[in-house]
Amino acid sequence: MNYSKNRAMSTEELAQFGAELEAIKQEQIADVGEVDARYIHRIVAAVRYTEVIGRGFLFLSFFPPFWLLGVFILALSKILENMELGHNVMHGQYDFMNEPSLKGSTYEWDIAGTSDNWRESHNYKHHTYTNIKGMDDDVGYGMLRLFPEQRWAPMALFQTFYATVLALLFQWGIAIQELQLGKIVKGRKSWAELREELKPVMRKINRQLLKDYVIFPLLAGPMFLSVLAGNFVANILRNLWTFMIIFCGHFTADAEVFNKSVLDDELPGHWYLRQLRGSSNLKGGKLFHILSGNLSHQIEHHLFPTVPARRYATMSVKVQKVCEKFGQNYNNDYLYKQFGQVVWRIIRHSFPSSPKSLGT
Amino acid sequence: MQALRTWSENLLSPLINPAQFDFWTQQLGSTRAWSRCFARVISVMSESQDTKTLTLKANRNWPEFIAGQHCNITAAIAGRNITRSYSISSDPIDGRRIQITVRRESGGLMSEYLCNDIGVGDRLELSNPFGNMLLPTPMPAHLLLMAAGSGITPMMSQIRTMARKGMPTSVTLLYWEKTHADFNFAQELQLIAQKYQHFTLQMITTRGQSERPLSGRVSHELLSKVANINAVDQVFVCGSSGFVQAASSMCEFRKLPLISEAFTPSQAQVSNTEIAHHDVYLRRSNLHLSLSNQKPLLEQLENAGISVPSGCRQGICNTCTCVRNLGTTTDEFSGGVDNEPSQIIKLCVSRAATNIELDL
Repeated sequence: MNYSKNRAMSTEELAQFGAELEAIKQEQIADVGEVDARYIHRIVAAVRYTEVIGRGFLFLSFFPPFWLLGVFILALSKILENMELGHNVMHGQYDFMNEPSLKGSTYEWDIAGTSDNWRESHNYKHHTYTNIKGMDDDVGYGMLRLFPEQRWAPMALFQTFYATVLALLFQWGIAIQELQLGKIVKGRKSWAELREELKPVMRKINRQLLKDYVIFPLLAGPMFLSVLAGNFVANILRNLWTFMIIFCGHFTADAEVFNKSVLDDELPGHWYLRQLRGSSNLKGGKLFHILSGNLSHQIEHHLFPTVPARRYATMSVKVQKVCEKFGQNYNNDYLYKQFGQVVWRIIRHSFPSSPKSLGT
Repeated sequence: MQALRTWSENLLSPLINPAQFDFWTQQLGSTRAWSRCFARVISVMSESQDTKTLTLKANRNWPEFIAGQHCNITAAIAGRNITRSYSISSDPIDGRRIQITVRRESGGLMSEYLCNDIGVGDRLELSNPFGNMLLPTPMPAHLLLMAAGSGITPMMSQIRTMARKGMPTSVTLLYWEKTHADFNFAQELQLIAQKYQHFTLQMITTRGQSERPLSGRVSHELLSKVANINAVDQVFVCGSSGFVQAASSMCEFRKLPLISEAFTPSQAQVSNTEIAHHDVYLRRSNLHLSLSNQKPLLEQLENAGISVPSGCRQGICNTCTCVRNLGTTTDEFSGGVDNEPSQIIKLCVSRAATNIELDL
């Protein structure tokens, strides 16, 4: 924890800080319209065309380079669908369009987890209680110890291994996150409850498995195994990419974790401040930002989750100015640096650590 | 057939979802869709000085309609889907070819789009037809139709249907417009009147001196002058709410059976400062509540014992979104006023500014 990068603010300053960020949001919201609609329609088209092209190449994979090309393009399609389309649509960023296929409350994405569980664990818990230990399930995804504030247990010694497994199977991690299996172990949830919650999850999982591992391979006829393997690898590539982007968003060296007590008498300005301190950005080019679903602008996404993500780049300039004015650290760096810090956290906190020994 | 469709849908659904199906048909230039009803504009004609008749070709999801019904028409205008109700003016015998006649209202988003901007080949979305202004069975012996302005459109569908069937009953049509240049379907109506002795047409202007014998607003005097009122055994009234009220009270006075339909009155002026309670109608629960304009809707709905899914209560998590069918709400943060029908809103940060209807 490096709190020294942030200046302490008085109550008045905090309120002013929040008001200035709110003003950035209102300015953008007033401008939302045709450009955003055209943009998301283009993203939808890109997702659909890359999927068809990617699957098409896999069908023709008797020529081996086509297999590689197919895997790469299909992975790209899934990444784009999950990140820039699905994730952002489910935040209601495009609800202003009143378009049923882009409605936040009903959109279903191309991933193992159900959108309904995601809307609960991500849109509500994670975005409202960002990085609050015990309330935001994304802090370590219920299995990793990433902050010294989390209790250490001997299991953590193996977490570098199971973090790697989680990265490879990230979509399954998300799929079962909302089931909170830990509660079963601790006896705070019954098997009957779990069975009930599993029903929609299993439906979605079956659908996803059927699509990628039965129907499309069958359609490919003699290319059955090649398509099956291609879909498998494309899913894994998507998992690794999303794991990397998402972990860089909240678990870099300067990202902070909070205790539940921060919620006592929390003012709107506090909420903004917590979003800023709990999030970190990634530097990169335009394509990189799009493929990260603009979660490379994690800070802006957390400050303004309902604003169309294509606007975050513009907003970030203004947010940085506000941060500078109020002496707050704006956590922004290249992917290799930020992810390096995440990996360090995973390794470092697999061993006992305490906030004091690391603090300044 | 239905079973086959259900069966094939179940088989195909993991492979292709409705949004994907609709995307590709659109890419191929078709209006076909999995379940939504799209239509293409096949002609645009001037009907009178301020009105246009659009001929639409709906896709296979269009059900049959009954003469006198209307439907919601949705157009993407400046990136936003805008929805308004229009009566269908064509004969149901034309199947998926339907006509609507639209009057240009200055400042009317949809009517200006449909009258000025739309062209042949453009795409609109249609709802299922609805409405209760239907011809009774068995047909009454003498029907009196009273239409003002756009109120003629549902009646035109009925008149066309009756004309096709050889005018099976006596009909008197009283049709009001401001000036002679405003009459829709004038030529066609006159032809029908020439062809059928028992179809009496009276075109009445409400403004300026006219050469024709009849002018002036609806009144007892006018009514007894134009219609063989004692022979009438069923009246239909359609027009603005003011007209419908006046005409209805006259018919009630004469104890004539009446079916009427009025256009939605224009929105009342919004006052943010005055404390007021508004009628909030929950359409799906069929429930009326009186809610204050001083507090967000979500809080008040909960206090009234209505369970609404909700999360952050500060406009970020998108859990409490719901469609506001009608009415005006203000935004808690920006103070922005919005009265777009069928707009998705967040209940936790919206206040009622007029009477509203929610899709709850």
